[in-house]
Amino acid sequence: MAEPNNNQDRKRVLMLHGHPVSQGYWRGLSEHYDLCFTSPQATEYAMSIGVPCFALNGFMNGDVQEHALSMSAQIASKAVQSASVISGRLLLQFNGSAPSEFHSAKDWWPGYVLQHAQAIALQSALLTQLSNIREIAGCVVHEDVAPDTRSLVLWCKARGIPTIHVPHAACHLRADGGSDIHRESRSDWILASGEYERDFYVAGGHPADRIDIVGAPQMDGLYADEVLPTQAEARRVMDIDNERVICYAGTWSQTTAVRGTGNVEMNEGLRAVIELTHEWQAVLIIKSHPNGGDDKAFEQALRDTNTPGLITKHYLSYAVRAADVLVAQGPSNICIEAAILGTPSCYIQSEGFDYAHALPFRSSAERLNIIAIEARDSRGDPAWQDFIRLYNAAHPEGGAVEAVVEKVIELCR
Amino acid sequence: MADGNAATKADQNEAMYHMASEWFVGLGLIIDDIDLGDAMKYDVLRVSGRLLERGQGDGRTEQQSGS
Repeated sequence: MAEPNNNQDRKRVLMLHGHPVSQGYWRGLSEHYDLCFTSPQATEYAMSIGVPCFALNGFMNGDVQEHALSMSAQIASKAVQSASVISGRLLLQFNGSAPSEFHSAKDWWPGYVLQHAQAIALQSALLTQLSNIREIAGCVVHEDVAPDTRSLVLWCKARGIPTIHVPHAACHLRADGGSDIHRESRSDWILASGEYERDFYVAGGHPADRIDIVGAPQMDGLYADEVLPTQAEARRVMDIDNERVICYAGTWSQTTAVRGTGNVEMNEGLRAVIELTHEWQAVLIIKSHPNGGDDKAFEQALRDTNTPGLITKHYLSYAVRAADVLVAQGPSNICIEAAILGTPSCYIQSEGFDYAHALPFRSSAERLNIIAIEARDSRGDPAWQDFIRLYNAAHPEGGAVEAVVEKVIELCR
Repeated sequence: MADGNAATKADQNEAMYHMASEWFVGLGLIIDDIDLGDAMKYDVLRVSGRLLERGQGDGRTEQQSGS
């Protein structure tokens, strides 16, 4: 859809990135604002499901291009001049143990800066073009760490436009887990999913009076129980005819931190889950992350060990509901989703990360057979309700989407 | 800080984080009020993490983000 032509039909503009995790509140917000997505793909998708919106790149013209090119050229020139300084800082920071690339920053640093400067300068020029024509009421982002979302937030903040961060997921980095970019938020406001997320960002330095708890909008769909499968239905659809079923959430990719033992840790976890599957004479469902995971390697592991199972990136509610227990590699947020769906969970610990509640059950890979039984036997324990509420204040009804929309309207007056 | 055991992985992460925070300080890479040092910090962490991992073998990090 193009930008509304008729002035009478125009509302103020709300900027959104358009990540799928934010989809739940698009429609509600569109009733109050003209939505403008920075992601062209999100614009197409939103239009295909009947959400009125337009794309920021629709404001491209010759002046915008010229401004962006000039800005990025100037920045690249400064990057060339600063390359030796950067190289020196890198080497100093790593005190002799830096990778070889850090010795030759002048060979790649200017190109790296230019690539990002072009994207950021173009987005900025498009935003300026939009703001020359329309009033921007605010911006809502699902995270404000990646270059595109953070630069959107920074651009709005510099112009006094309200910025709101609705975190796409809770980060389970422990307080003693060291510095990490996920502790930061640049937005004026955070709409937190629950007490845990509020406390996490307060501990990271965000003002407590700038955080409101609204629930987890991305989990609202898990409360539509009438359209979710029962365990029997999930097993029937997945063609599983077995008394015991284990679901293994094996892959979450995050490349901004170096902790744990990487592949070694992942392989140990998979090996322990496969052993547990044989011990229980169970069927194993490997639920890999939609945005990552080496499903071929999982398939090979199942074949090599003659383990009955299946692998899927999608159909979370079926994979989780079919299982007696969920086993996660690290304290994944899928444990919260599983608890909402009534499936108990345990996880294999990783350095620096843990849930802040006594649940789910947790251990090293070596003790998985013990905690898996504890988790399996905890089905129906009321303590799981406490666990969910800590991470999703909208539990047990759902309805976080409505709370987000209401709060955005209040903050973007 | 580079021998690959669990404790030093956390140390490396800490060093990379502070490095990313400092990379751009004073360089004046500003576009329309946007400080590139702040805007690009996450990507700088990804790049430096990859470089460190490539130089040190087993450092692939798989954590739970959902991002």
